[in-house]
Amino acid sequence: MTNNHPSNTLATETIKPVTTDDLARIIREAAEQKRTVIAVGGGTHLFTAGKQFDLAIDTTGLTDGFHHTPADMTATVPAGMRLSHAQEKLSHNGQWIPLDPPDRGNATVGGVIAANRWGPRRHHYGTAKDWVIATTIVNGKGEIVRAGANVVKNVSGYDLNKLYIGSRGTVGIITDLSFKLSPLPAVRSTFRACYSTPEEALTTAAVIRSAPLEPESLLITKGRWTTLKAKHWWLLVELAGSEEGVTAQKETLSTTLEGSSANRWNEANNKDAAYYWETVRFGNGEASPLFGIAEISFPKSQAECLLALLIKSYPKLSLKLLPARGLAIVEIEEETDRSLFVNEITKIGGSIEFDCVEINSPSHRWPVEPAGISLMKKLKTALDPSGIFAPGTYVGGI
Amino acid sequence: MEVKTALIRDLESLLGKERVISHPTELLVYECDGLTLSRHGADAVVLPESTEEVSRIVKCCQGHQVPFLARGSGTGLSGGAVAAEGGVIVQMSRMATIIEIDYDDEVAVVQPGVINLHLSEATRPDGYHYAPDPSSQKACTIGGNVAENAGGPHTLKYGVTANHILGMTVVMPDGEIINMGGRHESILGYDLVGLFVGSEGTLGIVTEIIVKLTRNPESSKTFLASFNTVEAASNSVSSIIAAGIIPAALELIDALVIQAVESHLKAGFPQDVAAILLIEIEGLNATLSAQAGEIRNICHTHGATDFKEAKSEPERAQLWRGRKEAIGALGKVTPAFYTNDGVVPRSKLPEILEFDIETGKRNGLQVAHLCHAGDGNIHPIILYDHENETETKAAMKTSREILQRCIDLGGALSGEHGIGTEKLTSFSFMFNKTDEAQMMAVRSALSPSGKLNPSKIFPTGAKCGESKIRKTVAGGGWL
Ligand SMILES: Cc1cc2nc3c(=O)[nH]c(=O)nc-3n(C[C@H](O)[C@H](O)[C@H](O)COP(=O)(O)OP(=O)(O)OC[C@H]3O[C@@H](n4cnc5c(N)ncnc54)[C@H](O)[C@@H]3O)c2cc1C
Ligand SMILES: Cc1cc2nc3c(=O)[nH]c(=O)nc-3n(C[C@H](O)[C@H](O)[C@H](O)COP(=O)(O)OP(=O)(O)OC[C@H]3O[C@@H](n4cnc5c(N)ncnc54)[C@H](O)[C@@H]3O)c2cc1C
Repeated sequence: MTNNHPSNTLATETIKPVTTDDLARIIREAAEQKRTVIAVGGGTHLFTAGKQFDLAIDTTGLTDGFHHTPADMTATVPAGMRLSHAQEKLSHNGQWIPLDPPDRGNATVGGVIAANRWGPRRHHYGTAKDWVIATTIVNGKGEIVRAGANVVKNVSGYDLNKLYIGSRGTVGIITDLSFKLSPLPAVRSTFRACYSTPEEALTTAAVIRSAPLEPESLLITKGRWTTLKAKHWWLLVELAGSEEGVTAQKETLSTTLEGSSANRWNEANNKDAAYYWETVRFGNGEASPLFGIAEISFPKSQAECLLALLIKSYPKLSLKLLPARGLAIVEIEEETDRSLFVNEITKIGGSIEFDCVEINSPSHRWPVEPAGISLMKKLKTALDPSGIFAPGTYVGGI
Repeated sequence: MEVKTALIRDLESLLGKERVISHPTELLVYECDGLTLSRHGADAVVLPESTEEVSRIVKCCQGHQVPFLARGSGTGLSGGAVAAEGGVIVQMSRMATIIEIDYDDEVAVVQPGVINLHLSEATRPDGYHYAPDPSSQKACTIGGNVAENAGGPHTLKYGVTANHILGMTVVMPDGEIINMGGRHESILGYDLVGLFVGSEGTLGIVTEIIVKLTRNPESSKTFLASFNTVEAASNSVSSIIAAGIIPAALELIDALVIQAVESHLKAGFPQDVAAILLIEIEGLNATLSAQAGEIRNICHTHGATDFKEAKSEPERAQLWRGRKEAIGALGKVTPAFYTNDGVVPRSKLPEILEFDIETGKRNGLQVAHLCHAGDGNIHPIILYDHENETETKAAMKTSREILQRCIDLGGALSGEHGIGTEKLTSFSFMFNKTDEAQMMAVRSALSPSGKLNPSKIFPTGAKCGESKIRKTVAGGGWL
């Protein structure tokens, strides 16, 4: 039993195992008794579809087994360890897991991977899919199963890691993860430019992408994810790497921004840069009349079209958009009719996930089912034959 | 016989006689892939031209309860594209169209039979390429790359095939046509694309693929570093990685291979050295000189006797030719050789290379090296005489011992060729019964009849028909 952990309100009983063997035993028993189970990390990204479960597994006790091999640029990290803690330990040897989801220190490594979360640096580093090399999970029969190895290249059996990333606790409980790591850049530098229209910001982003520049982040923001009362569209660029690399890029970037239609632009000092990125992650604290959040992914060429659509549907929107990845997080007015909007997104070949307080069914959260849903249901049944892991909480009611 | 005749009749009525191959002599070329040691006869080879045709073929095979599998160019090295239990080979060579190249979305849509290099050739003039570049890229198909999650020299920086596939159309083992993923990278639900890439053609037949296109780098530099011991070369590799430098390519070639290359190709590799590293860095102009300096220092610290940069494009091309055609050259100095593609954590590279040579010695054989060193992906090349049964057995034994050692060092069985039929007997080195059962549960869920590409990857229940091992064939002619 744990106190004050978010898992307490979700289920009749909460257990906090500290070893994988314990967890396996607990899951075996739950499977025998057909008790439903929800895995909880930091509890910051849970979706329960309004359900109550028989058993919550507080995974934050699974913190043994951290192992960093700097010379291999790989690490094995227990799932219950806070991401921030893992990053801190890795930084002692100048390395990190290049995933930067918004996190106030609670997010667990297992939760971040199970929810496939990301942040602005996804622009350069991609997602968990590009960095996870091995996983241990407890499956729906209570068996401990391993996939992958601590090597950076591997075609030995099915790559089940991919199946676990983003599975939101519906096929098994992750107990540890191994990552390929990235070197921490020696220097970072943030630039910000302000535009009157989204088209101008997008055009500049495109110019930056075809210039000899390799930004670590490239992001367009508006509303709550910029400074207070901001009406404009902001382009945020973060350069990273070696001293000489960043210095050379600063020059190119300055010229590019100066030549763009920016109302104004600046290179931020360290304090401002930290503030800008903090705001991108958590908002500017402005009491917002809006509530719901939608994560939209779309073919890159459709960015302009999507923005026009968003502005039309949600005039007061707040937004962060990664043009090079075809991704946007949008804060919308909850009361609007979403179905029209969903249709339009579908037309441009996009997909969408809503995250609003009043949403309590998977079909509202993921209004467009992916084409392979029938296969996904079969996979769920194969790995969780008793259907105990968070049933009815994922895409298509999985 | 009866069943076979009815099957072929049905296939012919689906595709016409000219697209169904069933004459025994014509079937001979389909008996093996690049792993020529293991041979299995198919009952028929069919040449579909569309997704719908593949679906009809699959349903026909299921109706007759015969095994079936897809085949690209047959360059695979793990015995994957062979009819291990007989049945029908679905040859993808007539589905080889680049359907679309879209620079705005930075994707290309291709049929599975498109040759890997053709896509990069089509896009490079416009500033883009398809990043996964297996050494076989002039011959292998993108469909085969997807099935094997192929890598290549530049995998080190850009990632393997899995990192470059956004979506695909798949004919499932029951003939159902499913689209997965799309033209953007977000995943809704489980990552089916991620699961299918590297599943060695055992979960479905891929009939269309959406791949990411990568922008060409601003510039690149190629270096050749020479060493008096293999250990010094492999220590340099480990140190380069440990310093947080990720070159685009980092390949190790040892003396035996160098000698073969120089006597037959004249690539300009130095003689009288124990090993060389072929190193390429790519990226922004502004960063390359400093990176080059760091790499040079590391190599010198480990005792490099020479470190030179390719001064011109022809010189660079010549070095790469030496690397990529080394195998052909080796074929001229030994009756036969056998290789595997084990992987170790990169700091273990010096240890495994030494072990390989010792193991060869213990078994009375010479072992040469040509590795994707930066990835920890080795290719120990075991030289033997295929006419000599004792040596042939010793070569197989050496390979297995090396794979076991890779696992003991925390590595994996295969970095790029897959398990196929080749490594069925080594599978248990890496995975216990529960791990295997988890994977097989996935397969049973998606391919309940088990008729799609059977006797691959999983030792449990593998039959492998009667493998016709021919003594006269030199094995493992590639990597
Ligand atoms: C203010 C705020 C803003 C945020 N904004 C963003 C944003 O813009 N973009 C973004 O991507 N994310 C955002 N997040 C989410 C954030 O990144 C999450 O905190 C984190 O990724 C999830 O970690 P967690 O440990 O809290 O997981 P939980 O919330 O505990 O769990 C997440 C999911 O994973 C499952 N799970 C947890 N642990 C395991 C395990 N060991 N094995 C299997 N399944 C498990 C759970 O069942 C659940 O489905 C935001 C969070 C906060 C607090
Ligand atoms: C000289 C040489 C160098 C090589 N270098 C490398 C290298 O650097 N890196 C590397 O990774 N590999 C390398 N290989 C191995 C081989 O080229 C790769 O595995 C390649 O991906 C196989 O492609 P293919 O078209 O020849 O496939 P095939 O050998 O025909 O088939 C391989 C597997 O893919 C399946 N398959 C084929 N098409 C489909 C489809 N459409 N749908 C579903 N399954 C399908 C088959 O069933 C089989 O299991 C090399 C091989 C040679 C001969």
